Parts: sequence; C-alpha cells; structure tokens
Amino acid sequence: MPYRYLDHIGDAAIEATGNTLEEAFSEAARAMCALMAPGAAIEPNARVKISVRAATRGDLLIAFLNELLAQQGLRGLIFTGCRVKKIERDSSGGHLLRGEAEGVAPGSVQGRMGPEVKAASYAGLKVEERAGGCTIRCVLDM
Amino acid sequence: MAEPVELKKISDYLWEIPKSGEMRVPGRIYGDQGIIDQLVADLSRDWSALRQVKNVACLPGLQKYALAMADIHPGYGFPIGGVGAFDEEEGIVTFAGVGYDCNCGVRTIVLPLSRAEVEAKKAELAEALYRGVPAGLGSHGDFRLTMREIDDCLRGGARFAVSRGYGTEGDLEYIEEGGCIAGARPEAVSDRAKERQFTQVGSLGSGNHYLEVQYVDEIYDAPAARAYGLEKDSAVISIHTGSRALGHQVGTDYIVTLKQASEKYKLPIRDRELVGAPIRSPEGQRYIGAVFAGINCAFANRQAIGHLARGCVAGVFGMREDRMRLLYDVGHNTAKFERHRVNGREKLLLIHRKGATRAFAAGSRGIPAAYSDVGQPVLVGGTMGTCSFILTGTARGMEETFGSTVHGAGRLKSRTQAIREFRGERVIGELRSRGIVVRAHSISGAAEEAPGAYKDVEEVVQVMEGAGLNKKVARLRPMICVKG
Repeated sequence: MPYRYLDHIGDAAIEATGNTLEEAFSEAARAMCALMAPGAAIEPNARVKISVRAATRGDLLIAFLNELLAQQGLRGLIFTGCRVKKIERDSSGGHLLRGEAEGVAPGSVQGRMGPEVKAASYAGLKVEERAGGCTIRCVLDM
Repeated sequence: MAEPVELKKISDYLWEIPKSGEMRVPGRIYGDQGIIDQLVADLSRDWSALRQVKNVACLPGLQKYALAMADIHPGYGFPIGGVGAFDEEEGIVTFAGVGYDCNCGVRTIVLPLSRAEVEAKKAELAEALYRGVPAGLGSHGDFRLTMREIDDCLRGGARFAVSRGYGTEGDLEYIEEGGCIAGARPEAVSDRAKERQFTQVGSLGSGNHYLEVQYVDEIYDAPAARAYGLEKDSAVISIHTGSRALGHQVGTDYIVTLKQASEKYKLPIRDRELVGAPIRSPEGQRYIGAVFAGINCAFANRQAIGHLARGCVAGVFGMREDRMRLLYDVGHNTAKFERHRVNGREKLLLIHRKGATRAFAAGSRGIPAAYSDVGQPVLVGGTMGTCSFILTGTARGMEETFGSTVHGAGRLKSRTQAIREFRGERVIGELRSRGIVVRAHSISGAAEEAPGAYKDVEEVVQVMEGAGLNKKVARLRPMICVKG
C-alpha cells in the first residue's frame, strides 16, 4: 500500500512508502491531498513547480508538505498530488527537492471537498530509508 | 518502550503526575475515572496526551503545574486542553502552547428570536447562512486586503473590521481583550503568511469549524443567565473559527526559528514541537508579536463573520442587525500576558492556552462591566448533534488554573476511525430526523465531525464543575449547523 492513514485521535497521521525517497514523498503528498479532495476522480488541469530546501530529510518532508499547502492557498487551487522528481544534496550539505504539483480550481470539486489541512507537523515524524524502500510518517494538523 | 507516567489521584476530578526526573513542576489533569482510564490506555500509542503533560512540566519558568483540562487529547508538544503559565522574567514562550491556529475561538450572538420563531424559518435561515457565510476548503472571505491593509488588520483586530463596516463599536467591549490585543507586530509576520490571508478574513474555514444556530435548552444559573440576557428557548448564533491561513503560516514559520532559539538558549527539546524561546529574548519577543498579530487576525475574522451572519438573520426575519447583541467572543488557542497570584504574590505571566478557554470569574479585570458580578461567559462548543454550554469561571478556577477551562468536548475517535464508522450523508440524515439542519461544505468532514467521534461534552463540563472551576449557566442545543 503506497500510503495509509494511521489512527490519531486529534488529527490525521499518514504513512507513505516508496521504492525511493522521491516516491515516498510523492505518496505523502497524495495522502495529504486525498484528505482535502477525498474519493473524487479528479483530472488535474493546473500544474505548479515546487522547490524546497531543508537541512535534514525530516525537515524536508515537513517543508515540502507545508509548501504544497501554502501554494495551494496562494494560487487558489485544490491540489490532487505532487510528483517529486528529484531529491538531492545541495552545496550546503542540506537537501533540495524539486517537483510538480497538480490540481484544479475549487469549483471543479464543489461538494466533494474534504476538510482543510492546516499544516504538516513534526509530531511522530519518521523518514526511514533502507535497501529497496523508504517509509515516512507524519501527523497533519486538521 | 514508552516512558511510564505515574498518576496520583487527588480527588474524584483531579489527578497528578508527581514531579520526577527533569520535571520542574508536577502535572495536573482534570478528569473523571473514565477520562483518566482512556488517557492511561493511550500511553501505549505513539501519541500520548499524558506524556505531553509531563514534557510541558520540564519547561523553564513554568508556574505551579503543567495543567490539562477535562477535554484533554493529544496535540503537538502540548496536549489539547493544555494550560501553561510562564513567569515573564524567567519563562519561555513555546510554539506548542499556541499551535497552528492562533486564537481559534468561539463567538456567540444573542438573537431577539425564540426557538419557535427560528424553527418556523429554519430551512430558509440555514440556506441563507450557508450561502452568506464563506466556508469550506479554498473559500474566500468577504474582505480583499492589500499588504498595507492586512498590517492594519493585524494591529487592529476586531476594531479594524468595525472600521470597515463589519459590526459596531458596541461589539468591542464584548470581545476578550476588547477585540484588539496590544503589542501585535505585523513586521514579525512573514509576507507569505499575509499573502495567504489576503482573501481569507471573513471566512469560516473547515474541519471542526462551524456556525450554529442554537436555542437555550436549560438554564442552571438564573442570575448569570439574566446578566447574559439569556432566557429559556431564546435563540443564539455561535461561530467557531480562528486566524485561518495566516495562523497556519505563522506556526509553520516559527517552528523552524524557535527550534534554533531552543538550541541557542539550551532549552530542553523533549518533543520537536515543544520548542520556544525565553520570553525576554529577541526571538521570544518576535514570536509573541507574531502570535498577537494572529490573535488580532482571528478577532477580525470572527467580527466579520458575525456581521455576515447577522445580515443573514436580518434578511430572513426582516429585522435590524443592531438588535442582535454580541454575548461574548473568547479564544482557546492563545498565549497572553495576564496577572495572577502565585504563592500569595501577584505575578505577570504568559499564559498559554492550547485548546483551553479563558474563564475569568466575577470581579476579574478585563471582563465587560455588565458581567463583572457574575464573571465572563465561557463558551464551550459541543458537537453538531449534542449541545454546547455557557459557563462562568470561579474564584477557585482563578487560583487553580489561572482562570482557564475546557474548550469543547474533545475528540474520542480518530478521524480515520470516524470515517470508517460514520457516513457523512447518514450523519446529516440522522441529525435531520432529530430536527437539526446540517449544511456542510464537506460531506466527508461531516463524518469526521460526527457526534459519536467526540467525548460527551456534558461529562467534560461536569468534571470542571465538580472540580469547582466553573459553574454551568446555560445549555444550548443546535437547530442549524453550517460546517466548513
């Protein structure tokens, strides 16, 4: 299962997996977006380039998900996901992520929207890389 | 293996985590046996509210206790329902005590209408409120602000909204802090946070935010109810929302800078969200200025929504908006300076209330003159199918919890569990059969917010009254619920 929701009494905890860090991050984005546009087969018609930098992989995950939330609000879109194209080390020893988010105007999913995610938090944060796969976890403030 | 947490029963409604290890003060949790049993069972989970109380108790400058009210459940660093009072000289401001939605709170407006009058036009009013109050994911508020105007909003709070024609000067006295906390620093709020808010002032949001039309189902304290202008079967509107995207972005921005500050000032970081800075440090002062700006943003937001809601009622019932009196507006995610007595001496404290409501008793400073004999109305939201309460604070509450109490029922089931167990359409249908009209912008959100997903608000309120921290004034039952 590429992503799943874990039980968390207050908010939404997500766990995402992938063969690579990029895949796992993309699945985390899909998990978060599916909370806001649940169960809807949505054909995205808007694309936004995403670029995020952070010191650690954990910081990068949180910065990435929060960047999606900010861009979604600033551009007046509902994102359906974000394909993470590359995560690499930058010249300062940190991590740089590049990807492309996809979405639609809110009117396209009127009546099918879920609740808003306020922020991605550090609670329960985990980024585990091992041979042949990657698992990440975090809690989203609803 | 999870760190064990020792619990000692102080009374039927109060439990203590004795001071041990790095704890600087004991933890104290208000709850009955059922609430405590649930918290103990949750110790085996990844997220435990009891461990969060213990972690808060390790922070420098915390006064008396790390406190948790009876609606306690896991939060971020702080438990929801958590209260922490920090000495202004030696203490810290912590992100976890405010979170991602500064000054989320409740506003209640008393309508000059009876339950029967609302019932007669319930569907029409529900439709008017659903259409007239922007709500739901991606919704835009009634304001369109520029960068300069948003700075005015962050300085002026509800006063700014009034200056733009949303409500009246008379409303301001009936808002915590007069609707405008002094010391807000718009320059401490990022441009991104402001840009995200340009179109969101005057919007309800989603999730557990709501607008309800309710009626007074029961009066418990006649003198206080009289002071509040509440009668049995009178109708009110309650609005639950906060600082919207600006508050979310302030949290996102400062959790990064406060981690650096925690390291700089060698503060214990027992939880990544439990970061902060000494109150008197430049980093602490900057964050406090940003939080105060967020507090004012939320006051402006609820002022604008209150005005829109009044307009909807006026349109349906053909009455003047100035006949709809603001009962009170109070936040439950704040950090504010207040004076309280500690060990017999009055001290200036930074009170963090994370999912906890200020509950000032009769005679306290900072409450409207009309309520000075009975205390400030404490607005406690329930669920869309059950009830809400209006309480007052007590002298004992001022002493024990720095004038704080619960903010709502508190979640019992996770959102995923609620979605598994409840269907949004069915929840709405069941509530309709009980006479409650629900208009939801998110059907899945209705399932997540199903009444069965929350603790019994009556039990939670009973605990606080049993502990002597509050008195019940009135119980409200919903007739219309607009969910974001």
